Amino acid sequence: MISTAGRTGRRHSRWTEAGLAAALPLDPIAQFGEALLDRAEHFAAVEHLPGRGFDFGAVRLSLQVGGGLYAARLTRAIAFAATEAAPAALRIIALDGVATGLGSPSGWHFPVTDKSHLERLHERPDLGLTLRWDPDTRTWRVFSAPRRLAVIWTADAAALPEWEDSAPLRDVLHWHAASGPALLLHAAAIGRNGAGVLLAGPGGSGKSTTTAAAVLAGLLTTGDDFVLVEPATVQAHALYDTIKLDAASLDLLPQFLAAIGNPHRAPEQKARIHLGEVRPESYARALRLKAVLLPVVTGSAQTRLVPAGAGLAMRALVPSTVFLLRGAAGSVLAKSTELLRRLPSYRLELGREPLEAVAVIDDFLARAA
Amino acid sequence: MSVCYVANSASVAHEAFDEETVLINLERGTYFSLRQSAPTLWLLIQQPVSVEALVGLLAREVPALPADAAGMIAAMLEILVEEGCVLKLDAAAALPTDLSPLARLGGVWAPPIVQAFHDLQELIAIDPVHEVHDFDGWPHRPPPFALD
Repeated sequence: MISTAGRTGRRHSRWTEAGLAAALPLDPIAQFGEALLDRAEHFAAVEHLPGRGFDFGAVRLSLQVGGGLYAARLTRAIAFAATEAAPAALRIIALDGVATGLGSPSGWHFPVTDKSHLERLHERPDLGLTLRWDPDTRTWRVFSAPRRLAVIWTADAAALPEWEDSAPLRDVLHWHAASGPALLLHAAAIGRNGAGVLLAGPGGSGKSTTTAAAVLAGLLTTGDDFVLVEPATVQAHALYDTIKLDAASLDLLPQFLAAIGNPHRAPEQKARIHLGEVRPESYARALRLKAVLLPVVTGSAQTRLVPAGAGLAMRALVPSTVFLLRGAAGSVLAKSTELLRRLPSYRLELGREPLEAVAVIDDFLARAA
Repeated sequence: MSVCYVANSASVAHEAFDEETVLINLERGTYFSLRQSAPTLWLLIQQPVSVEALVGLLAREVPALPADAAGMIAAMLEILVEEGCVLKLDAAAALPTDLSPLARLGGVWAPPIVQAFHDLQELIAIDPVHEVHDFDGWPHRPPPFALD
């Protein structure tokens, strides 16, 4: 049992630690979020949940998971980043309601008083608190910057869709990155000899196919979906070891057919390749960015790099990032702008052959070195 | 009182670059490219302003402002109203306090261009089936509550 008085006292000490002169009032949603954090911390302590460290360069975290299946699903795509080194800047507690016996948390049961509530998102930047309810997966995600703690509580990990395994923990990593100098972006990065380019564009732009072709050509990648970027140093850090290919891309690059990590996927889902498992030599933990490339499929014979304005790069990079990673939009815009002012942008007008396109990128990197 | 237009800053974020200004409507999942005179006009409507006032300001800055400029400005603003990026209201006519954006025109008029992108709307589509108010599960009671 946790006494209310004890919890109140701890809360006041947290506020003092956070440098707040007076206790800020908690609205009911923030209250609920803090209670979820308290509940998870208590469970993790009582159950002695083991912690595992992960180092993504710009972010270092410890992960405690209640539920064996959930642990396996959360860590497969980030196993490359496992570390014994301490300390962690962020502690994440992930709970499977079924496996732990905790059951499902309450869904969103608050009146809508802000537009963000229509997405079941609640942000209190003054408290460093963000929380969001996902009704499709029945999952709460809560992040507290002053507590350096995030909780993910899902009703039943076994019922989570398969595609969740490609980018686990991404919401809380996004909110944590937003509270510091780094930035989670919906983009791919490829390169060689420590230098690389960011590939930015919506689904169908050729980002994933170009990334896969780059791997076949001997370049390295930090992944094709999300990347952790430090705008001040233009450094891109790997988050997930996966690349994803649709049926058309697999036709172009059949070399990846034998490496599909989700062979029983639904017909409309992309094939997932875990590079960390099948081609670890193709995986880069970090790349120093030289440019932002905006792939567009043209169907022409030759690939061309055409200088583009930062506005075009912004449109290719930021909307999909802010719409996929809800919350902290202001931070995403500001840091993206900083990044785009430091790097040149180019339209990557893709020819018909992916490996020819990669040769053009490789040549660009050689000249930019 | 007159019809005024003001940027819907609560829902729309923007960033300005040399050649264009990008708007992102966080509520609707849409985004826009503003070019030529549109970025200047966007900056001038950060406070409520009428079309007439905008034309008056432009006329002082651009010697050869065409007669149909008012119509173009009104059309641009109505498009952005429809897209939820601009609010239309009855307000006391006033001039913007910051006139520095006018310098971006360089004394030359170029019709405003607004390009809208709706390709990512499905990323934030709210599923109407999942309404609020499901109360099952921990902690079983809506707040305020006490943990046992």
